Amino acid sequence: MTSSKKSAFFIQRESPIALLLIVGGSLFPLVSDNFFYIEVIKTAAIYAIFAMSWDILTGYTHEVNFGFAFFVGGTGYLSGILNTFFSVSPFWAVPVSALAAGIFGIVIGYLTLRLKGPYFAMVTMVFASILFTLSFIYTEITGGEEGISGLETFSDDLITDFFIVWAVMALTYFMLRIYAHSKHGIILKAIRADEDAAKSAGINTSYYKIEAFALSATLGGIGGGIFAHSQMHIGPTMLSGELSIVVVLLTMIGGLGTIVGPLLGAVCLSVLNEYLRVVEEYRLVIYTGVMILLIYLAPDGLINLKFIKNSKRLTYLFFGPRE
Amino acid sequence: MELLEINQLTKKFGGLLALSEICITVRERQLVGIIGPNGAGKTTIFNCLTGFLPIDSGSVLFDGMDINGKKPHEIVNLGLARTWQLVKAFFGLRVIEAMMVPSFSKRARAKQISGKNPSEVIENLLRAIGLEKKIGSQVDDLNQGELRLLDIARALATKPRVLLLDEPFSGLSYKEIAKVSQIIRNLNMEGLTIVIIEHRLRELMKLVQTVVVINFGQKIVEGSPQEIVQEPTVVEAYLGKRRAGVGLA
Amino acid sequence: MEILILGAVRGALYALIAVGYVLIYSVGGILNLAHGSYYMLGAYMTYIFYTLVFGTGGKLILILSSMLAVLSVGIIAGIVYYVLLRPRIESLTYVLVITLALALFISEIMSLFFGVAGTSVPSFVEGSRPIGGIQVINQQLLLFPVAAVILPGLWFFLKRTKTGQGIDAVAQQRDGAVLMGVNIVKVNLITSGLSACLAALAGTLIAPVSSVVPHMWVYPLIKAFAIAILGGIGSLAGSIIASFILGYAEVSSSFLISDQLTEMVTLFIIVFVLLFKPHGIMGFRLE
Repeated sequence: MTSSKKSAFFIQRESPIALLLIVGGSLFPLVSDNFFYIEVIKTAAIYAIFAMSWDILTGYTHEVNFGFAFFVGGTGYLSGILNTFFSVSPFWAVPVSALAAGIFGIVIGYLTLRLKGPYFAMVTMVFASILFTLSFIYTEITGGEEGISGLETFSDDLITDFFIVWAVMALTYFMLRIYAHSKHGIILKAIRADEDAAKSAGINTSYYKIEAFALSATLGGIGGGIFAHSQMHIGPTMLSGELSIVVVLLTMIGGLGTIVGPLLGAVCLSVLNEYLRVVEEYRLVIYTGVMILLIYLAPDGLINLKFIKNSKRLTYLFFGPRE
Repeated sequence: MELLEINQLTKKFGGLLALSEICITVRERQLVGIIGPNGAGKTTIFNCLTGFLPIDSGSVLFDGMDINGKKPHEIVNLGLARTWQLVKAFFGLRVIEAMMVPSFSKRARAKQISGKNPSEVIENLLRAIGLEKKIGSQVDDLNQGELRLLDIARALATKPRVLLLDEPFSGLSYKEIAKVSQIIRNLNMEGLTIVIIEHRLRELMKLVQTVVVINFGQKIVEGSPQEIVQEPTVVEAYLGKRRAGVGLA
Repeated sequence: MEILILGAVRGALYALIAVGYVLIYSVGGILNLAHGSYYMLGAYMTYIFYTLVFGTGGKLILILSSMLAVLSVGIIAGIVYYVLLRPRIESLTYVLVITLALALFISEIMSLFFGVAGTSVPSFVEGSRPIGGIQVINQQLLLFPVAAVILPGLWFFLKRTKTGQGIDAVAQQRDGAVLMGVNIVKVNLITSGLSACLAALAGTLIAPVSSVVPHMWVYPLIKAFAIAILGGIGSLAGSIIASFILGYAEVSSSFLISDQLTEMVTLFIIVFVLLFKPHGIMGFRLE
């Protein structure tokens, strides 16, 4: 009920589909030789990390963060700079950069404490825009439009890289699920429902809001760092508004405030995105168009659709027992 | 001993003087009622006491400590809890989760009797208030009366020394009011200091020992229920002045 | 002197964009993050009509294309409101997300058809003229008089015509207006179109002298929002004043510091305003 549980025990309460996906995906390289598919699933996993980290803040506080690229791209760039300019190994560069992202998360979280709704959304967007603009000013360091190339990968072998990424994704999933079901998650949901009532229950709401922001920032940063090093390149697209919006859409289409929804949504849509490469020219147009359609049809997310909620079996399948 | 001392409390909203030099003292174990017409400023007093509104001048002492400027959650953790006039509930949560929130507060954790199962504590609290059957429900499914009871339970879960109830009888049936009155009486007998804002005067007068009357942001009079109902200024506050030559009389 | 002229031009540009943004927000409660896209489409559609539909033609055809562009953007905005926004307009999150997604979608479509490099549109008025000792591009000068005509025209529409008064009423007190028999859907529809037309007008006027690229919707959107905050949401006059303040601030700083850093300065100012003063100069508090 409260705080973390031993692993064997909490697995029993997890979403069957998510577990299936995690286990199944990790076995994928054993059954397939196709490097392209492995890359696709690896990218999908990284987007899943983005979506889940975004969810722990916005899904649980309902303050919409439109500037997630700040943490994703920011960590990517920092890690890339540490790697290329200072020869720091990605195993150190990524965590350190993600920690920096977390610190920024604390700062921005603190500054935006009093902001609600559109103000919060806009400020986060502007912060990301600032970083984006900065990358075009200090081009000696950031490489401007071109970005930074030649980042080291985690290992020499594609398959090992995949397992590292998949493991991080799985870890992120379980960590966030535990967090969401812990007192932190319950308090966030209470703050989401009525912050004054939470305060009158003796809860320091500012602390928990900042904590969620920092967690979201750090995990998103880890995703960003991993992405940079697996592409061996970091460019301004990782700081762009487009990235922020895509993460928002993936999570919302999946289903806010569930962690499972974003995982499934991100994986499915990323795979779709890759599949659309057959019509590369139209890919982005179709991709964004499909996402708009999905949000329009299922504004609360696919996992929150009525027909799933009304069916005991489907609810169990997606959410696991009890939720 | 004086648990709550409100001295010359003044609160302005722009040009509007909402509270003017309010002085109220509440001793330990007292059961005090605050009454007054709508808009008199009663809830504003509660908001100032609990840190939700800043004070313009005057002082508020809780157990001798100046709590002006303290954040709402800090005040709760000192032992001063309040309920809400307009329903404020943790919609989207289950009842048991909603009751876990106050138990996560510093004060509740500090006062926790080790060895006691936390869910048992919550169950007992809900039983004391009459909501034990709803422990498995969603907050969204509770009715108005049940939400008010849940709010009281939420406040009690922080183990307060002083409980401020803002119109606890609002929206309840006579039977429910009788039940809640008994709960309040029991809590007071067990040592809880309680201050109640209410409009249901008949039920309130049966419950409290002292009544404070507020009108236009000022304290008009203070006394026992018997004294208060006969006070002409109080009658005037609620019913208006008697004017000769108007109407039938 | 240059700052005086260029600042006025910039202010007029921002005023056209921001007024539309504030209008649809105070009337319909819609925070339209695709507003910048309407500005962008104003530019692109002018190109489409002039170059693709008409092929060639003189100034007259150019002006006609421009009007058609503005009109078509207004119609698009109306459809967007009616189809996408109306079903779930109470949810701010939904509106924010779907308009932002729409902005991205439109940007991708423009990318698809016209590439990242951008397109060019000929000027309505060629050349430049010397004013106060410097050369000012004539096309830019157009903005100020156009704004000076359109904006008071808008005020007149809102205060004197029946439809406009209906719109004004909804902006002030939505429930009251409904009780008085105002058709909210119709009002929102007209306002959406009007708001988009204003943005498109700005876009079409600036197109010849500015880079028409698929991501030209981002900065105007952020600035429109900042101006709305500065000027006070709900006050058209406030947003006009704020537009000029921002316009002058930008132009001044681009003279004092380098061009690149100007954008940064603007963004930082916006952040400070948002973080520390979300009530603005005029207009009422946003709750």
